[in-house]
Amino acid sequence: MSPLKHITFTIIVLGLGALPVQSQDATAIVQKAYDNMQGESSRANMTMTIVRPSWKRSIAMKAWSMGEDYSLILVTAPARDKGSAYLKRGNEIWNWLPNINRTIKLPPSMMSQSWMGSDFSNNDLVREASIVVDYNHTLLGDTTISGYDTHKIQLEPRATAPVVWEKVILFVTKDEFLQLRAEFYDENGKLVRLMEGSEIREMGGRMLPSRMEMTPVEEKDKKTIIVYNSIEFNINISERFFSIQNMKRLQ
Amino acid sequence: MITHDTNHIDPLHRISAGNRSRRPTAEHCVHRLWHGSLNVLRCLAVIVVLWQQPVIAQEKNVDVDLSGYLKELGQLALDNNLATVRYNNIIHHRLETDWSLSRHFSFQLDMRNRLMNGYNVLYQPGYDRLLEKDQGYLDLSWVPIHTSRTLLHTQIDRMHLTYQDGDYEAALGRQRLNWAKTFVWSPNDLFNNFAYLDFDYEERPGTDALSFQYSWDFASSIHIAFQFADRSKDLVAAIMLREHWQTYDWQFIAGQYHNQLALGGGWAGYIGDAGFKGEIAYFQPEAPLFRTAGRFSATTAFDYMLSNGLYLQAELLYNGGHDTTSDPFSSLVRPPSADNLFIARSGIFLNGSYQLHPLVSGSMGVISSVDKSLFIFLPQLTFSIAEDLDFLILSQLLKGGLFSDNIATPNLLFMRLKWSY
Repeated sequence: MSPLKHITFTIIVLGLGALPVQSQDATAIVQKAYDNMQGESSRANMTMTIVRPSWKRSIAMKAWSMGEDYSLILVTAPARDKGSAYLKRGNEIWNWLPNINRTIKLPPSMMSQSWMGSDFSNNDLVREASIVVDYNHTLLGDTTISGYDTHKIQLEPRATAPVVWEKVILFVTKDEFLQLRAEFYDENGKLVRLMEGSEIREMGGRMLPSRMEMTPVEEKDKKTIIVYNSIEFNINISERFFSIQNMKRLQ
Repeated sequence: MITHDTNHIDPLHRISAGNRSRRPTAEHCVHRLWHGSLNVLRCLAVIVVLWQQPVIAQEKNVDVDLSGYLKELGQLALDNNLATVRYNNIIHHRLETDWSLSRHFSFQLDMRNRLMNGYNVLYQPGYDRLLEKDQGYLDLSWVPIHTSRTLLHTQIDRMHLTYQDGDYEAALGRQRLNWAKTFVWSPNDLFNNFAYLDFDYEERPGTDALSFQYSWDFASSIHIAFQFADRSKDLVAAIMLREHWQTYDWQFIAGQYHNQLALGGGWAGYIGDAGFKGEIAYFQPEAPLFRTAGRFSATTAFDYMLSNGLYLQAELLYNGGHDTTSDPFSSLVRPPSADNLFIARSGIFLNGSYQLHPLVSGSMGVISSVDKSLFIFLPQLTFSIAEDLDFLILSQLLKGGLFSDNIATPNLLFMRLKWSY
């Protein structure tokens, strides 16, 4: 079996935003940055590349989502995995294997893992709402990142939050509320991971960073890059789309 | 003596490619024909498509998706004293073609070509006839080349026309009808059971059938299938109902299976964070007039991923249809029947898989039995050498009293290089 591929079902949108807000309160800024990356539904076409000193591997996929409960991912490359699909409804997960014409139900425990050896963990990907609900927010000031004026906000985890970081420093652009940079600090206050958004362009009617890089700070020659080729929000889709039979019909 | 047709299961994802945006044009093809068989086949497909477009593609262009792989598989078979060493080699090419004929119709044709050398070709009398005999209703298996040292086996294992309209789907031809829920043994899999040890046949066989499916909810559907057969005793016709209830996928089957009435069901759900699956089936001989007692088979399986990434699987089998008179080895490497799934009355399967490195995964499995002295150890390592190139090293070690007296070379070592396109 090749069960060790953990597909994450939430579309990975860590830094988006388009709606201007009046409030400059730190929590409100984070809330806006979060809200603006949400849609009732979405469709994305993306590529994830794991970069290591001596090799790199990419996986390309199409992903559909509706709310937090429904997602469907179709792998389009590499050739070995093309056509396989993953369906998530609530906490139930199915995997479609086209070569043997079979759907396999995967155990929920498979979801709690890191993803395909990348530098993204499932918490990064699944619990996006975490940046709002799991932390207290403090506005530290203003700074410029890649030519954009940004708010610098410190996130400190709430006592009961299931968070591994001591703190997170978030940089959110002032005009579009895009998360351009996030610094993750461990329990010793040391910067261990860095996430950067770049190549901001219009996708799905919003200005978005189309490229996200996650770098383990101690290992500069390692990184994981997610590139969105396209993304659409609030598409015409229903709950029936997220079905076992539809996994085999998507192309 | 075991005559391994060299294989074992590895339910990988579809091997597929055929980048549509880069499909060659007919003109381009003429210049590139010399590039090798892959391009020849691609070009042929393009030419066929272009040729047929005016005839059959009124609604939209006919679209063909080509994919497949090329594999080199070496097998060493050793006795326990390492005194006997036998080598088999297979160069294996698979071509998969998916044709979108119109909005509702599609056609799939897949072919496997295996060039074999080594012990089995040299010393197995009748090996060519064994391979040439197609197990299905249609004869789509050929041995076009057979010399004293080399054998080429060609088989079409998918060839079906599919009609799909909304929630309805029908398919006619050689297709895979997979009704299994569990990992290794499947009493519900009336049409397309498979041999777990036949790992190199990743797609598993197809069956010549007419099938129909209607879905009315995300996991609710009805399936009706009829397998063509020359003799009534080979006939399989069955209906399956699938439904979802309480985070469980349920299925119920009923039908005619080789002169028996088959009734059964299966499930796949969760106990906590662990997967919990199972299948049960009862087979009642129809003649003479239901006076013969029936027998049942059942499997139950669990899978769980530990927080460190170790993925564990376990499966238990009760094989009520165990036939003590049959050759125990043929059913290990050839598809078993749904009413007799194993070489013993009971079966145990345990497996652990682990991603040792983003490019390296390993697993260790064992198949055993309560009622027979048998242990099959299945260690394997897979390396991703490049984006589309994988190397597999795998062993099948057949231990225990059942094997020690009957198999000359019970230790098998496989090495496989696979390029997917």
